[in-house]
Amino acid sequence: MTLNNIKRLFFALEVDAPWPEKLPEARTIDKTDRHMTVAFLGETDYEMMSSLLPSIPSLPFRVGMSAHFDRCLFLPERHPHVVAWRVNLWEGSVAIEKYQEQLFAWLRSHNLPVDTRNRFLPHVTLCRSPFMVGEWKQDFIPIPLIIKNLHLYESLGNVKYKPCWTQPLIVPFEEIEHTADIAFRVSGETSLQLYRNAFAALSFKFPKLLEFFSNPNAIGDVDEIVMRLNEAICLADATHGCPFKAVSFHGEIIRAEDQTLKWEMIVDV
Amino acid sequence: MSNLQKIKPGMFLLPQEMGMRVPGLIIATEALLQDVEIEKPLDQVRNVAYLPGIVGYSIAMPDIHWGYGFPIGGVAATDVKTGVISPGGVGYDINCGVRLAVVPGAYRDLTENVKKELLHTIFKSIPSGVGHQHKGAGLSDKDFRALVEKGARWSIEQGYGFERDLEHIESHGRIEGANLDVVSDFAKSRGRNQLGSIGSGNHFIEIGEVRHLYRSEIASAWGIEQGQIYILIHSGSRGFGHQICQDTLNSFMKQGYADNLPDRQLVAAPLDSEAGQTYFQAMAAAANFAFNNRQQILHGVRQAFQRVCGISPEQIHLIYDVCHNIAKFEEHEVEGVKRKLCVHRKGATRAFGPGAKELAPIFRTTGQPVLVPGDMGRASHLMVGLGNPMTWCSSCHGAGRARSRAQSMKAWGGRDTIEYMRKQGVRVMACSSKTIAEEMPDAYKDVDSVVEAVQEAQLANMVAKLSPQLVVKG
Repeated sequence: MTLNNIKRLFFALEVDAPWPEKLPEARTIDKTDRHMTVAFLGETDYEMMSSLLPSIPSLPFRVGMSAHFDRCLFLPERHPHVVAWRVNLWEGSVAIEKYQEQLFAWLRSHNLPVDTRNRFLPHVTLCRSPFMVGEWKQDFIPIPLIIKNLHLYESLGNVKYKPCWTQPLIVPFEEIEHTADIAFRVSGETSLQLYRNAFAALSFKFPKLLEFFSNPNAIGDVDEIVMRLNEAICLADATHGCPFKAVSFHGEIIRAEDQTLKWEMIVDV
Repeated sequence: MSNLQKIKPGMFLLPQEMGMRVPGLIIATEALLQDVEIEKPLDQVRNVAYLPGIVGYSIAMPDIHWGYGFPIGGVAATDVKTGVISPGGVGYDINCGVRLAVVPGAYRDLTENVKKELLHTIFKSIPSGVGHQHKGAGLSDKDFRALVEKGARWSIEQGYGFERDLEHIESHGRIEGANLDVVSDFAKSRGRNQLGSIGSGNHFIEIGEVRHLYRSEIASAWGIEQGQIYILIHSGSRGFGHQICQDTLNSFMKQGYADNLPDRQLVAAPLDSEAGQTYFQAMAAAANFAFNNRQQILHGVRQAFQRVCGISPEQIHLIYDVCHNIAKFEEHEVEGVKRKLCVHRKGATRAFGPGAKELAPIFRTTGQPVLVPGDMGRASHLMVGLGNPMTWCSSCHGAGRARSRAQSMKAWGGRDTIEYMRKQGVRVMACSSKTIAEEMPDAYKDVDSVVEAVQEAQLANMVAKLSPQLVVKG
């Protein structure tokens, strides 16, 4: 082991969100570096770690998941030195917890250091101290987020991070071209996940829609997805006004070559 | 490009094939057909031709683009006895439309300060953009019932405008047959506070100058002069209409009315069925809401002119108000026989010619005004209908988008679009800079080329070119 190989490492899920343009003054983490930590390793021999990575347990899901931030946290509770937003996962929290246990076991089996003191708390750190608690509390509004990939990150110091290895996930949705309206290609492993990811796509454009999110246990077909999304749009329009007229009854759910489900969602605006 | 055959100036035939009941008719010039991403909308023209009871052609206007079921810029007439009515042939924004009014005086006589104040006053007094609506309790159920039954007259009775305005509104501001009892509470809750508001997207209020007269005798008959100030308003039935469309689609889907159609977004019920009649009654309710909406928006603009310029509301004359998302019962000649048809115009405008019975006397001699908004940088057009029977007396409704909202955002996001437009001589206000970026002039086709195609096809003739100067975007 040489000193050059020692890096401060951790495994985390990359997240994306319609981040507010302006956050209260603080040492803020760049939008592209924001993540949800799964396992913190600390100072680790990177060369050794990279040689082991091919045997790392695979994530139990292939399509990125949707969620929303529901609270502003100041961590640790006693003497907080970071501001984080709590993640309310719409699905998969048990799967992530189980994955974390698998990852811990895998790390331990290779005598790698891992901090297992804290129970998994889904959150994304936004900034490090100094910060004004009141300002962060006041400015918090719920916004959606999606989980994109699992990375092994290197902490570069001064709230900068660099991914040095990636286990990719299929993106939950992507905006596609539509001349008059807006359109998304939505992915999911089940029709229920398609609905959740479609809801996230709409909420990325209009976060207030989250107030009207319902999380059913099952979804039948694409028509039910459309009707549920439109119910939320209707309620949002009646309450706040909404930029969407409706999600149209366009397209079928298609099983792609990778066996995931795809749906092209068109939103009349 | 598809196998289009030119049959007349400005008209191309899309041959009947597979399950199409009629051929397609595309109004365009060769240049326009080269210019646009035409294949997807042409597929939609073909699909519309499958509708039971369709007569004549499945028609597309030169501002055609991909829409919901029907293309935007689509026209289809169905026989009332054997045909269907399709919410996709009307669109989500039922009776989205445009109204044009003129103000006495020349635009060049307005000082910079007056222009600025006028724009600010309109922006402040008329809600625009997402979430901006009237405060307070909003419309009661009694109000809803009265306004959907009376049409624009209801607003006039409340003090928003003048009796004479009604002669200058398509169908005199009222679609017969509206019935509030078939409208859901959801729809009412969406529309309750939205009457008199522009909404978002491509809706707008525009103040500008009548830049050029092509047919001065018609302009003069309508009371329009070169250089004059005009007001152009684009809005529809807001959440009330959107929800009526959605409720109907949900219901039609569940009843299996999409079966046997090439695209389930064309879902359509027979006109003589209970489902079809219920939709028409609800659609008419939304259409009458929209007439009231534009009536109240114009009232707000008239008030602004009075406050800022001292021009009384009575002096501001409504020229015309057209629907461009609607289904209407009209009588037309089909193979030499007069028949009652349900004419769907989705992103298309009625363009009755001289002599049409429904028109007020002033327009019966000239043909009806056809309003064609362009983009906020270049121009809008006022045309006169020629009553062309090949399109069931229909014409285009706008420039048509050339670029998606995402592309516009990529091109303009983060730039000072207000300053850019100011340098082009146009002052713009909107609640969101994103809206302005999405609605920049280059997002649209050049409206001049669209109206030239319409004129070439003899659907309508150009009367005046309008130059936007002060714009409130939704």
